Formats: sequence, C-alpha cells, structure tokens
Amino acid sequence: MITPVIVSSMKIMWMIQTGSSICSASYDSGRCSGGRGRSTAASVLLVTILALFLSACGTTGKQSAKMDVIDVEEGNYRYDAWRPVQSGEYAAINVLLDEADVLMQRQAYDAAADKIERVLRIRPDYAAAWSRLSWLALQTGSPKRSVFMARRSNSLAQADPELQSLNWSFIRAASGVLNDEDSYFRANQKIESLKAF
Amino acid sequence: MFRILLIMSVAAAILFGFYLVHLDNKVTERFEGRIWQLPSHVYARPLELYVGKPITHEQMQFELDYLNYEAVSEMPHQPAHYRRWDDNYEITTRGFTFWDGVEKSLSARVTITDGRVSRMLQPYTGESIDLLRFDAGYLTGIFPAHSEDRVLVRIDDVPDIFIKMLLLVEDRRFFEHYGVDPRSIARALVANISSGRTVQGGSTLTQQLVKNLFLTRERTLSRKLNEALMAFLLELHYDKRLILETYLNEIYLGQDGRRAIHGFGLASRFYFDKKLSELGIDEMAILVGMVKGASFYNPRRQPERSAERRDVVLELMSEQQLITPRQRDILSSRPLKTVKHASAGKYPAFIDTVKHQLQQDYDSDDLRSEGLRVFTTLDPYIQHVSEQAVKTILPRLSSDQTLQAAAVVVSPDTGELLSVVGDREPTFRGFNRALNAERPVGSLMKPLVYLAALEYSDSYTMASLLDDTELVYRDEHQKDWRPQNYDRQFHGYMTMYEALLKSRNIPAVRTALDVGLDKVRKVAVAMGASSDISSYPSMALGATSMSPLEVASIYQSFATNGFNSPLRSVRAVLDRDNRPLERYAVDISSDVDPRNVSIINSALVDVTRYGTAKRLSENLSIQVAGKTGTSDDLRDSWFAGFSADAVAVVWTGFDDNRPTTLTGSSGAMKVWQAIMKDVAHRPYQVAESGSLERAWVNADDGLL
Repeated sequence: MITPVIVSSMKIMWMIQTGSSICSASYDSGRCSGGRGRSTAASVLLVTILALFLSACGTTGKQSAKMDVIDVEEGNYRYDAWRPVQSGEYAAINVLLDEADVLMQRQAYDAAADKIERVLRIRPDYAAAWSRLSWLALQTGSPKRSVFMARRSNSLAQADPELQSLNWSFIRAASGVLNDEDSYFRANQKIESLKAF
Repeated sequence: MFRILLIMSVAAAILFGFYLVHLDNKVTERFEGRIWQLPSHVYARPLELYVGKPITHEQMQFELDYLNYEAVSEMPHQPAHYRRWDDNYEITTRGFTFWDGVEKSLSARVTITDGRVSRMLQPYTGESIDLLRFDAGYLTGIFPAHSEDRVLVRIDDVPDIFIKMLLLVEDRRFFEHYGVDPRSIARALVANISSGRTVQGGSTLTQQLVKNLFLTRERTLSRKLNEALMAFLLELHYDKRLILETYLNEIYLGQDGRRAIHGFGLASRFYFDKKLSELGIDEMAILVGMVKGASFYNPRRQPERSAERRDVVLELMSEQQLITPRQRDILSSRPLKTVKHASAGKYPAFIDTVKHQLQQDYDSDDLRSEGLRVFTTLDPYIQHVSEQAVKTILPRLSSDQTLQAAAVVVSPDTGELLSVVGDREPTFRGFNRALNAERPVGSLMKPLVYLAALEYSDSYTMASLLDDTELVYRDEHQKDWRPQNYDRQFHGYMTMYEALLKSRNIPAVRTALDVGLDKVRKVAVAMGASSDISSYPSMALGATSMSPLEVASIYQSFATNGFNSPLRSVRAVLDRDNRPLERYAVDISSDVDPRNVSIINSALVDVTRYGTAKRLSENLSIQVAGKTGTSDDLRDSWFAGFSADAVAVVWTGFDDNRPTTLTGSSGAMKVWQAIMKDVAHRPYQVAESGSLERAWVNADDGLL
C-alpha cells in the first residue's frame, strides 16, 4: 500500500516541478501538455497524501526520504555527469550516446540500450555507459539490475565523484522500489559524503 | 450392356471426383498453410570500425575475405567492393538490416597504422567518419529435417528481365495456359521422337512446381497424370503471380554439403554473394540455365557446361530481342565468376551454444521452420585464431592424435561468447567439449578458495601465513585423505600470495576447511559456477567437474572484479519479416566484494609473471592474469586467464580420462598463449581503489 502512495507522490512532485500534467517516465524534456495552472491543485493533493501517510505511519527520517525521485532538470535530457568526453577516440562513442540519449527521450528504451551496448563493445570501461544502463533498468522495471549497473559504473568511476553521486541516486531509487531500507540509507549516506567533493 | 457401362462410367466419374477433391485438398492445404519450412539464418557479429580500434592488416583482410568483398583496382562504387594500397582501404559496404535498424551501404577510406585504425574518411568529401558498421556475415542455417535452405524473394522485387528470361527458357506461354500446355507437350514430343531421345521437356513451370512440392521424380505415367491434374487445380485456385513467386522460391539449384539450395534468392547469394536484384544479366542467365539440371550445370563444378548453357540462354534472349546481339556477344565473352563460398555449418560448437540459448525461448520446430534471423556474438576472426591455435599447437603437445581440446573466448564486460572450439578438429560436428565435457578443474579452483577466505574471514589477507605441512583429513565416513603437493614435498609456512602463485595444494585445502566448504561453494556460485560443487575437501583442489564454458563464466567474473555476466551467444532475433522478436540484453550481477576480487587478481597477474604461468610474461606483449590447472595424474590440463578485452579458457585431455603428460602450463597454456597473442590488445590492469593499498611484507612471517 505504501509503494503506490509513494509512486503517486513522486509523480505529483514531478508535476509540480515541471508544471506539467501527467507525463511518462521522468526522462522527458518537459514537453508535456497541461501547463503550470494545475500545479496548485497538485500541491494540495500532495499535501493531503503526505498528511495521510504521515498520520498512518508516523514520521521518521527514513520514510520521508523514500519519497525521493530522480529529478531531471527541466529542458535537459542529460545528466551533467553523463557529459561526453571530447577526444578523438571517443568520437564514435559520443555519436552512439547522442543517439541513445535521443532514444531515451522518446522512451525507446530497448533501442537506446542497443546503442549503449555498442559503446560498451568499444570501451567496456566507460562508466557513463553503465550509468545510463542503470537508469534504463530503472525505467524498465528492473531495479536489481539497476543497482548492479550503477555499482559497475562506480567501480569504473573512482575519480569521478559527480558520476558516482548520480549512480548512488539510482541505487537509492532502486532500493526504494525494492523496499530495501538499509541499502536506501546507505545510498543516502554515500550521496551526502560525495557532496564534499 | 449399355446400362452396365453407364453405371460403371458413373461410378468411375464419382471415384474420379473424389480423387480430384483429394488432390485439391492437398494442393490448397500446402499453399494456404505454410508452404515452406524456412530455416533460421544465423549471423556473426558485425565488424565495427572506429578511430583507435585495434586491428591488424591481417585481420582486416580476413574480415573482407570472410564477407566476400571483392578486391577491385579502381575506386569501389558497388557494395562489397574494396581496393587496398599501402595502409589504406577504400571500401563500399553492403547495406544490411540489423536488429536495431537498417545500415545503409557506405563508402569509406580506412587507414590502419601500427595495428590500429588511425583515420576514417569519406573518400569523396574528405569528411571524417566516426563509426563504420559492416554487414553481418552469414554463419549457417538451422535447417528443417530435410535440410532445405532458401531466402524468400517477393515477385515484386525480382527484376523484370529475370522473369522474362526465365519464362523464355522454361515456359513461354506461362500466362496463357492453365497449368498444362498441350502445344508444348506436342512440340516436345515431335522433337524427342525425331531425335530418338529426350531433348526437350514439355512441362510448364506450374507442373515443375507441383513435381517439386508434392511428387517424386519417378517418370511414370501415373505420376505425370497426377502432375497434370494438380497443376490444373493449382491454376484454378491461385493467380499466376503467386504461382510464379512460389516457383522462384522453390526451384532446386544446388547442394552445399547437407544444405539444399532452393530458390533463386538463396542461389544468387550462394553462387555470387549478391541479392537477385543485384545480378548482372550474364549471372542471371547462369542461374536460369541451372533449372534444367542444377548439378549438371553447376557453375563451380562444371564451369564449361555452365558457360555453354548460359550462352544458350543469352542467344535465346537475343533472338527474342530482350537483348541486342552486341550485348549478347559482350555477355557471352565474360568469364564465369562465382564466389568461393565456405560451407555453411562451419562452427558447430558455437552453433550448439546458440541453439542451447534459443531453446529457452523457442522450440526446435520454430528454429527450423519459421525463418528467424539470429544475430550472434561470434567474432569470426577470433574463432579463426582459436581454431588455428588448437590445430597447430595440439600436435606439438602430443603425437597421440586422440588428445582433445576445447577453447572458449568471452568478452569480459558483456559476457558475449566470441569463439567456441569443441574438438581438436573444430569443424567436426560431434561431441562439443566446450559445452558438454565436464572435467575436474584442478587448481583453477584455488583463486575461489582464497577469495572465499577474504570474503568470509577477517583473519585472512594475501599476507596471511598458510601452513604447507603434511595434512591428514579424517572423516568417519571415509578413509583418511592425505593430499599431496605437485612436487610431493612440504614447504612449511608461506603467505597466501605465495601459495597461490606456486599453486600449492595443502595451504588451499587447509584454508578451505578453515573458512568452510559451504562458503567456498557460495563464492564459486556467486562468481558464475553453475554445477553442483562437491562438498568434500578435495573440492579445494578442483576435484569438481566443470565444462570449459562454466570455467569461462567464473573467470569472466574475475576479469570484471566480481561482476558476473551470464554468458550468451545471441544478441537478438528477428522474424522472417525483420520484425524484432527477442533481444538479449547485457546483464550483470555481483555478490562479492570487488576489492577482494581485485586482490586475488593482483596475484593472478603475478602468476603470469613469477608463478606457474611465468612464461606468458615472456611471450606476450601485454600484461594478463590467469591460472594454471592440472587434475590428478595429469588427466586434465587447463588454463584460464584474461586481458582487459578477452577472457579465454582452454582445456586439453583425453576423452577416456587416461593420464596425459601435460600440466596446465605445458599443455593448455600454450594453446591459450597462441590465442591471446592475436586476440588480446588491451593489458589487464588491476583496478585501483581508494580503500586498497599495496604494501611490502616479509615473505617469512607475513608482516610489514
């Protein structure tokens, strides 16, 4: 029962943020119909749901943190941590990842994964590619796989705290879906500790 | 009397009517159901070039030859043509429909310098090309029981000139008759009687089709009558274009081993490696000429006869003004040129793994009959290198020609099977040792034992001192077990590092017993082992049987610091109309601490520098990691290891399990080295981690 409430709340929070009506998965440039006029009603609804939730379960730091969501900056479809490497050898990789990002925007997740797998055949140690696969796994309902992909990305991104932080946010979201509280809070702690970098 | 005759006539007519209905059912069932069982077509991985890609000239040439690209002396304008000068290749690729979209034909100038692609440009504009994907090479088909193979063509895609040519030669009145042509029969009869032998056939295309689809080749009156009736019924039900299209896809045009070539679509690929629509008129004439006798006029085996027959066809075309006399002369003067096509079914061991994977989602009937397009992970060059390594090294290891081998190469990060060899004779379609031979893995188990120690006990590090003195294991259910080291000696205390480097047995057993055999088993499973691992202490010495594929799964996990990727040989499957059916995505899981795996890997690197595999560091130009494995009495010789871009496992031994004279380093490792010399380009580097540090320790006491 808690999970559907959390998911609904996540969607509504996202609506408020982007001023949009119900859009599909959070990988969206914000081009949804509805406009900002609905945000007030959505806010009221959110507060109501929150109130019900908190009164039923009691408020703890753990439970409120579970209402987290993978935020996407309005108008962008990439995370900064996924910024491309500008170097001759990466030209092919950048072409494929550009195509993958466009496909992700269109929610063509399998097609996007195909492009990213081609990247991995060129550079298996490309951490940002694994990070994208982690995100895709979340979108396609495979939270366990998302965790492993994010961890794989982290194992290859030792010198990139920004990417690690993004990956931990995926792990956190996946842990939420899996109702794995320990992992969820470990992820939170990691994100906090990486902020120092 | 008259009444009796009348009754008999009516009865005969009724019986004939029933018979006609029976024939009619036969004809319509076949056409309205599935006409053919279309085999699945299996493809290798496509070659992808980009600046920086490691590739030698030897490999580049191999790839072009493998795809049947034709070398030309001028700028290649046609797909599947190339020219080479110095380090440069100008190539026009074939267009191809992949599982993830259509790749159009592209022209590119590729420069290879110092074993890498250094530049890729469009030859006309000079613009750089970032990525070039070639068409995927055809490997084999998974055939129906009768081994017919075909590539379906639609009549709208067949060039008009080809249809005219075919009808001119085989059935000029095709669009006018009703399945049987009495005029053709009469003409053939006159010609045959006057010459005293069969010089001309009177059968229509429809009759030929009926004979191929429904009847035998026997030349009897009853068969001929049936043929005529069924041809008539076919024409009654179906329009001419459908019948012609069916004929185009049914006609028998040759044999390739056990694969029967049916249809012009496949024949044009098989003989010329082109689509039917890409053939020249002379090439079309060769195929049309083969209808009269595919073996008799086979352009590969009977080139002179085939050329003569081609010229007859061209002459007919000239007489009917389909071509001019001048064109006829030019086309007739062209030499016969077919491609050297390797037999389908070259990689039986790899194809076994493909079927094994697909059978989880498709039953074998579908694989053999639905015309699926299967895109695999096979790297033809790596397969070639692996096969050559087995074929050349094995005779040097032993003059006994029954010594066997298996070799598997895997991509570490994606788990894709790049090559599989299952027999010392790789093309032999028999027992696939890579997949099915479960043999004791010997010392390949030791890294798992020590990994379990790091995972489950705080008291173990690589510097921990382990006891290499005599051990007697007592169990009330069996007699005492006294394990021995390879040299039958005991060396006192040594670090875990040294024990692994030198592959000492006693320390491994003691460690496994101390940590717990169940923990060792758990780690093995986490690292990709799938079989039941024995619960006896001898398990620590690899008295547990695995196939080379299973070992590859474990060492793939080592290569990625504990991220196991299930091995797969198929990337995607399309249906006969190129619609996506299945996609096999990259998948990983991890249940061990990557830092512990990294620690073990640092020791495995040193195995190849200072340990039982130290000859590798002398003979390979890049750093690798690996482990030798030898079972009791030298019955099995193993080597498993990896670079950053390849994991390879090799096994050698006798099928009847008798002792060889080979250890892991004197046997399997030599084959492994020969493979990796050509295949591995990126050195293995132990993953750096902020939470790990290197330190010098005293080898005698394990202290800093």
